[in-house]
Amino acid sequence: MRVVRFVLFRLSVALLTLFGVSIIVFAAIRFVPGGFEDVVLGPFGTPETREAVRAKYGLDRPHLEQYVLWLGATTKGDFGTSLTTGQPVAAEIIRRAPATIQLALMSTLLAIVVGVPLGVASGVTSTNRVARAAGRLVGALGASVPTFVLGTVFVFVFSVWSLGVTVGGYVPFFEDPLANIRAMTLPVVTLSVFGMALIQRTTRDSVLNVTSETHITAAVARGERPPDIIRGHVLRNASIPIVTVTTVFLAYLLGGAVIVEQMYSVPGIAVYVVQSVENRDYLVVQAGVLLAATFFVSINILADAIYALIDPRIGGQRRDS
Amino acid sequence: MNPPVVHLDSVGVTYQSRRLRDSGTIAAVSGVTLAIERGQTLGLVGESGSGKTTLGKLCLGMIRPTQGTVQLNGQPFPRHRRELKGRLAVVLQHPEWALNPRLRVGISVAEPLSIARSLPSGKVDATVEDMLSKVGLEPVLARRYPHELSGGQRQRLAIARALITHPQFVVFDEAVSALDVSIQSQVLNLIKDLQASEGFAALFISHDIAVTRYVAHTIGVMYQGELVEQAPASTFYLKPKHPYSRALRLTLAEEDRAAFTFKDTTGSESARGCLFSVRCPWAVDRCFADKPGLRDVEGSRSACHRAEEVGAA
Repeated sequence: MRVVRFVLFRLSVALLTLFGVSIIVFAAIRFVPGGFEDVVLGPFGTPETREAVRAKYGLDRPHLEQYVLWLGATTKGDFGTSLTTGQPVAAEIIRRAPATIQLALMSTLLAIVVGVPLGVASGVTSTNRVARAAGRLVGALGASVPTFVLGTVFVFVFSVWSLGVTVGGYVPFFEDPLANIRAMTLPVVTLSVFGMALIQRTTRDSVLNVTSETHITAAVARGERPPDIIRGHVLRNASIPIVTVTTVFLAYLLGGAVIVEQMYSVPGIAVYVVQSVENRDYLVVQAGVLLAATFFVSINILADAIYALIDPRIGGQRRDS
Repeated sequence: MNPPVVHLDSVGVTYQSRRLRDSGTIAAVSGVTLAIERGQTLGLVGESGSGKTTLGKLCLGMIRPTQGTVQLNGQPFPRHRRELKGRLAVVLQHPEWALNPRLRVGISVAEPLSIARSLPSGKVDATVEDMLSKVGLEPVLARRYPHELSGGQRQRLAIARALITHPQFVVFDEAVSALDVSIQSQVLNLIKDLQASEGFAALFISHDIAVTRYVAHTIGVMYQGELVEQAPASTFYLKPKHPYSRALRLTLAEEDRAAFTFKDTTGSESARGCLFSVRCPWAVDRCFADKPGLRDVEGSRSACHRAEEVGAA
């Protein structure tokens, strides 16, 4: 019962958030100076032709009417057609989704796989100096080098010496997995370095906190093996801030993907939405932003569920007697 | 005769100062010799920073001494702590962190059994329930999480976890300090009763000498990393043989405190003489020049040139 109520509450909050996002994005893209007709006709269009273009795409109707029409169609799963290509928006997005999803998944995974062990290594005082130094280096460099700088260096270095990876030249994974991985390696690494640093530092602090708890000292005193202590006692107790910071990283990914997709010519959603802003392709921007918001809201709900799973204190006070 | 369970022979721990300018060493513990027999409790008292906790960790083998030797049952510590197999245990200060907050407490209590490997897995639950009732808790509590329990209950669970492998030696480091007075006495009684039935040797560390008197057979007094007096509890509280012990004892009786003038120091310990001399109202010229060692004084051991006079006063 408690779970059902919790889920209902979270879902209604999520829907309310998405409703707010839909209003904001709809208004924001229309506040940008210059409309779709300016993009189509350029600076020399006559007022008459401009009016004709607006009328053709229904942009001359009252904003409220446009919004209600769009929202109504969207709730039924119809995102409309792109103003620039005339293709259904949904199809355009689905076509570009695999690259972005792959980029996000692999970057997150890489950030966790590298960040957590480095964080543990630099947080547990008994590990050797090399591991701790490596942790600090990744933490400091990763957090301070901007994505575009790192990307530029990578593009330069790997354009001169290929070293087994390709700069650009995206191929869908299911067409040629090997070529896909070769093309995606640099984008994924570029995007995940910031995440590695974020996760490494959070893990380190969290581990330091947990290891000062006395149940850890007691486990050391009675002679448990350090790997068992780290797995059984430290990591689970240190994991809540790590989950939190991973969701923060996912939010960062939405923005970071734009730069990386652009830089390595990955045909993904992020760069498509930004181009659509320039083209005033209203429906694509609206759908893209709404999609991103949905993704982020779901991630947050998922994170809350994970909190409840790993910490009995958050999962509600169950009393069994 | 069996060797004592824990034996420290002129043990010292020095830390190298990490600062760039002065590369001095800091002695956390120096020249401590003591032994704890089966079924006995050594109460260790002293002010903050006097090295009590460091000494506790030395006895557990968690720190290696830089001088002297530490022996467990007449043997040096094994290279890998795993080989201890539950022969040692510790109960620490903060009950709020004493148990892993993510685990049901029954699992926490059962944990040492897996290192000791003394038990078929089918018997674990029964052993845990038995242990919980030994520390005066309802066996159903095993299914609770730590945050659902009080500080006193958690400390009892920490004791249950420590004793479930029937260790030979247990360190209680400020084990009751965070509990309020009525719960304190319950837990102290529990420790005493369990020691009587289990026969483990214990090191009971506390800054509170009233608490220590209640559980300890022998009292050791630490001052700046040195053991300055060691005496049977029965005589210690009547006639302490070291000026510092006298000062500590006065904390028991509020009204006597005015009778003892305790000099302030600016950290300028006498370099060659007795460490306590700069604060000691009994100090004479000899105390500043000549460092006293522990010597037998009427059944106690005291590191004071004027121990007889101090004891008689």
